[in-house]
Amino acid sequence: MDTNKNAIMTPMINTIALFILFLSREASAKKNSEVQKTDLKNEILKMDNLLFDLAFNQCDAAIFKKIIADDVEFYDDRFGLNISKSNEIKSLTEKCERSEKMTRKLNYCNVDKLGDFGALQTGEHTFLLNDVPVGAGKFIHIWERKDNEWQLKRVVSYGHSPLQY
Amino acid sequence: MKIKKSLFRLKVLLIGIFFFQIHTVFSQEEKKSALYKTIMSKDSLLFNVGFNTCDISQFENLLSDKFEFYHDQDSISDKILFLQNLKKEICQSGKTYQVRRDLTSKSTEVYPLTKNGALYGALQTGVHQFYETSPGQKDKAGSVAKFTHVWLLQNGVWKLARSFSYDHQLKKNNK
Repeated sequence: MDTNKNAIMTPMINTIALFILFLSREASAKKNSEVQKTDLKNEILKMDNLLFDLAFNQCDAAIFKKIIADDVEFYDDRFGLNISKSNEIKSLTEKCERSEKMTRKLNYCNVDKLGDFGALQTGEHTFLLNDVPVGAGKFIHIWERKDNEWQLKRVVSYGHSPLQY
Repeated sequence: MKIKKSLFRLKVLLIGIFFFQIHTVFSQEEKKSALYKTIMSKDSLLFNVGFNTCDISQFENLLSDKFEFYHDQDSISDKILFLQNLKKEICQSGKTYQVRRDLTSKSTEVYPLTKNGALYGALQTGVHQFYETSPGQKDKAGSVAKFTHVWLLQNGVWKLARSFSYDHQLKKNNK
């Protein structure tokens, strides 16, 4: 009887052990891809911070020039398509010369990888005039990694709506 | 008198909430709008006719000459490379199975792109599911992915200028 029991138990234990091993490998593979996703998101959030908190909000044009790709394309749902980097820099300069302070606050974003060359950031942001929210919009940013530096290559700014409080 | 006053306050509050909601719902095109229908008809030509039946001429017509395709598991391709890959991989002759793309229902959002009030393009976002189909066999679910398309009006004709296809994931349960 006992031998019979053993004959059944051993393959059963083996199967369970294999199953656990399989599950843990699955879990670790999943964990790896999650870690990669978080790392990428952190890298892009750092770029978002440089682009908006420093370049846009605090008018650091040097950082702006560094981050914007030479072949940038900016599709805006109110002001049309701009494909000139110098026009983008001009817009920032003009914005920074105004007496009202325009700033941008990130509401949320998602980051997905694009091969090993880039990242796609989608999200929503609010614009403030002298710290008062005046409008919100959605955006898509295509970031390109070039020699370990991230550059903003494509921008779609859409779904703009005025906020009324 | 007191009740009247609080009723009035409630009304003001409700109207306020109503306007707040109108303004915070981003100006997505309604599913009945002309622009939404136009983009959906182009999507159907591109995928239901072009992709699903390997009618390459739909892609030749609908893709802008300066088309760019960004794929999360591939690299950036232009129109020529995109068409080459389509013919080589999806629409290869002698293949035992076909690839079909289904647009996930209600996943599509369309946003107008304007310049000083004049429409110059549209942004389309959505989710699509791919299947491998073979005659006499159950459809095999492939990956599900998100996509974003930038459509531009070029000389009055809608052309797909930019396509971002990302977040490809394998769906476990087969259809």
